[in-house]
Amino acid sequence: MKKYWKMLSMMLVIFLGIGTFYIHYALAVHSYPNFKIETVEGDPEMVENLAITAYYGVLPYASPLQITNQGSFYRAQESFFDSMKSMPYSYDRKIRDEYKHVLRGIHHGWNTYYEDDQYLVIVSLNTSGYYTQPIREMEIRYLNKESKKTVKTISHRLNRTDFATIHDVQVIGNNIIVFTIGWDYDYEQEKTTVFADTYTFNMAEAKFVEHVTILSDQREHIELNPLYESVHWRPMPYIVYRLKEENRGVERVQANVDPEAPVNETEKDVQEAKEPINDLYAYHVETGTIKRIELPTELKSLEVNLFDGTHLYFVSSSNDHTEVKVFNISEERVIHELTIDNGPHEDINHMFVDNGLLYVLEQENPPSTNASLRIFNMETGEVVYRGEIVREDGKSEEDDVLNVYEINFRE
Amino acid sequence: MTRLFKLINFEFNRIFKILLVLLISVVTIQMVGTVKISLVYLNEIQHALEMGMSIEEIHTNYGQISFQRVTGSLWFVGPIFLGIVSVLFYIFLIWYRDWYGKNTFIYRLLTLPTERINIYLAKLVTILLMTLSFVSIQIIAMPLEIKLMSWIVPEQHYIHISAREALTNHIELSFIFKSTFTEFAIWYGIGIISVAMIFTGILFERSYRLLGIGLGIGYIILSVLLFLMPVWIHIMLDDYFYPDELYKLFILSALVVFALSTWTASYLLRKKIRV
Repeated sequence: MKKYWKMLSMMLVIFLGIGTFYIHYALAVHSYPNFKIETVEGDPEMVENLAITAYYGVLPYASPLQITNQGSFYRAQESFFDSMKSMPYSYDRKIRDEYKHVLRGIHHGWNTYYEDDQYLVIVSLNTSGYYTQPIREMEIRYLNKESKKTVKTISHRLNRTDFATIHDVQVIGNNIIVFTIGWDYDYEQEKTTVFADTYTFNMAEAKFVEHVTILSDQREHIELNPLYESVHWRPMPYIVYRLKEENRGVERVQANVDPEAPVNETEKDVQEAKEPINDLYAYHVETGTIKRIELPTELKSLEVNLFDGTHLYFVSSSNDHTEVKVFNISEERVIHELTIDNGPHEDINHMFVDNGLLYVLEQENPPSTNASLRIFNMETGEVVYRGEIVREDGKSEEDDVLNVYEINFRE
Repeated sequence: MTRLFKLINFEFNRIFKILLVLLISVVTIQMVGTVKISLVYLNEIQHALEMGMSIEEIHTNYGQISFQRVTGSLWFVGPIFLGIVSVLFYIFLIWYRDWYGKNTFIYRLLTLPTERINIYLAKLVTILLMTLSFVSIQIIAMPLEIKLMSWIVPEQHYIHISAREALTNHIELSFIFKSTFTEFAIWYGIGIISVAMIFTGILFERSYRLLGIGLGIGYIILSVLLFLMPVWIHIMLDDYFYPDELYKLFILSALVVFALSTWTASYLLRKKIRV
């Protein structure tokens, strides 16, 4: 044994060095405190479907985690291979776990799903060919959830060669409607053309039905963007677009420090809004009609922050309260105004709307571990749920820092 | 097994002294670097104090110091790359010294009453031990270097970070220090399989000399293509696999490459090797 001492000593150093490093890592990861959403008021079932995404610790060394009413789950505690999948309490993970075969080989985006009680639809837009003459092909996969195994696919080559992206998918009766937006720039006229299209596919016959341009405009500096829903895979009565123009002006700035010196004149580009277009358009999915939304004067100066398919939510904040005005698209009027009181040291980190409920995630500023979740019924304005994010062991350490920043739905 | 162990011990003893010098150099250079960087920072602070700046102003202008200032410097990264270069160099030297050393030592090795593949495996394990000794000495030295910095720099100017935080958040070092053991095992496993592949390439050259250079390079290219086979299948099947599945396929193909390298090396050592 004596003649092996050099090698054995080095093996011991390796074992001690690498072994303790990873044992220490594993212990550190498993010693992170667990958090959960503790119901203070309301029905605990209201938060069963959601997870709060957070960071424990100070960045860049903070550890990401998800907090549910059952407890918390740190990404660092996941196995190496599981960490390559999506976040555990997320829609992406749920879809992958339940419909693994449907998603194989499809380049879907985060918002190119549709799911209701009967159907699951996933769409991708693939580009091939030359840069100057791209070939854009849409692939639609769908299945009737009762017969999970049968997946149908429709492929359709787009006539348009302009840049386009899919932003929503809906199902009406037997038809799948894919919504795209895109733009093209005319160098001769120095104008941008923006457009929103729908592509309709028949599920029973698995074929393309029609392509319709539902909105288009051409100006110097024009932008067309859809409003994204909080829960993007749900059936939505309306799809809403914002058409916005920015006038780019030239502002002359005179610098005249010394009255004797010659005037220095500089130019700088500024983005100034000179009576800009800032319109909202609502596309009714069932009838296929589009209308410009007439907003009341009080809402014209506000940006719409949230959208749930039937209502627009205009949020404005001041020091100690936040106002939410709810605008009904079909009735074209503000149906409710809600004031959320929050203390001067409390920030609203995330707001989320679904099914007539407004989810508000709040946290003390500067962040400690004190965070809370309130759910408002937007019909009545009442708080229907109040929960606190608490450490499961009930301890509170001085250097504990938990940053909550997002609410995710799983279904 | 005993014979293999003896051979590993023999190969390891041949490099031990140089390895020890290299390990001590790595730690010494990094320690000197830690002291130097800490003192340079303290000089800046002292100069700022003499200029009449408050502590807050100093922290705004110069920031507080953490061990990351050391890990981002050549004092820290330099010795690590010295270790990497040494291992890469020794991958070739471990074979060629047996042919071109004072005596044609390979003759004695090949006449040992043991399976010839044990020579190959012993050299492979020696490279692994050498690599892991650099990694482990770094892991052991870092807490000491951090402690050293905390002794030199006053607490009000010092931000403590752990060795793990410093290592796993260092982009340039993230390919050496992995944050989980599974990643570490996979990464270094693929590393040692690559060494096995190169060893087989060297044995081709040692067996067929000039022609062997072409055969060796060809073998390495073929092995790399075999290792990358899952990517080709994945593309052919229109991105069929999920990332975790693709990773598992990579592990499988790496094991196939290892088996092929070992088998080919065994064949060359038994039938074709020239002294």
